[in-house]
Amino acid sequence: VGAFSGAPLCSTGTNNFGGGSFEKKKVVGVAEAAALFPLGGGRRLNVQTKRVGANLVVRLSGELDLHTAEHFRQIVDGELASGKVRNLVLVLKDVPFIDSSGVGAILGRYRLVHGLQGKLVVTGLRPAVKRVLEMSGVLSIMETADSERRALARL
Amino acid sequence: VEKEPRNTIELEFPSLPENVGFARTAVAIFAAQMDFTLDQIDEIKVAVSEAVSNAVIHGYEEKYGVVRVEAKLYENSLAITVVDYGVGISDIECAMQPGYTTMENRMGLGLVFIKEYMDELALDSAPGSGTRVHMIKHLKQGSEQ
Repeated sequence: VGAFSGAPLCSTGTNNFGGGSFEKKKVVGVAEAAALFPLGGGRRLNVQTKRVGANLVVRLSGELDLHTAEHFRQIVDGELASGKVRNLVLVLKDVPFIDSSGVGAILGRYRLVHGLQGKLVVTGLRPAVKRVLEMSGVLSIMETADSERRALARL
Repeated sequence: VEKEPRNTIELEFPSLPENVGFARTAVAIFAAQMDFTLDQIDEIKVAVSEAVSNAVIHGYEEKYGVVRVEAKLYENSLAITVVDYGVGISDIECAMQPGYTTMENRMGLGLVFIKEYMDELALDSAPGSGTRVHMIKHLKQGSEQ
């Protein structure tokens, strides 16, 4: 078993999502790349919450991954457990990165809110984040809005 | 496959969740030596994030272990290998299925994302002997299609 053989499971050529990327011809330099991730990516996600009646607006700032999703989960679940909140507006405009752990955390909150007969609306999706959410299939079940104000209007 | 890499990095770190962000950022900055687009850099970040998260959550089941990330720059491609010395995967074909997960509250999408975002993906794993995830990103997307 030990030796790596690319044969049966090495999937190539069926990349559905890679194809679109060359219309953006912008190429990244090393200094620019470093500037894109000023705090090294491992920083804590900033989670700000605001209650508007039975709605909770959650503004995230930073990257949503295995590590930071836990912080997001704890704060939101704490608010939901208070019993005063039923709907969630997730503002992701300052979230440049998400992976499947982040998507899992959002989906988990969606399920909680759904269990409370509430709604979850996401807003401020950057292209890279939108693509990951689309690929996960969650955008077909969750509502999206152009702005925080419009998101609140949906509730 | 090209013979000699033009540049390489090797990272080793404990299987802590906070190192997932470090690993993807380090590889992304390394990858920026090549003419990848911003979109491609984003794709590489997601792929590394998924592979390292898998090592932390599945490979070591959130216990202590060492994760190793190697990245090699070739003329026209970037090859990344993420290694753990943890429990290994008993059924690789299952692991590759969308939605397949051995854990509650996980989405089973990690490998699906890697498959979508990288040009090549191969897993080398056996129960008890850890997992090696090999990924390749070509510089010119879509040129073979």
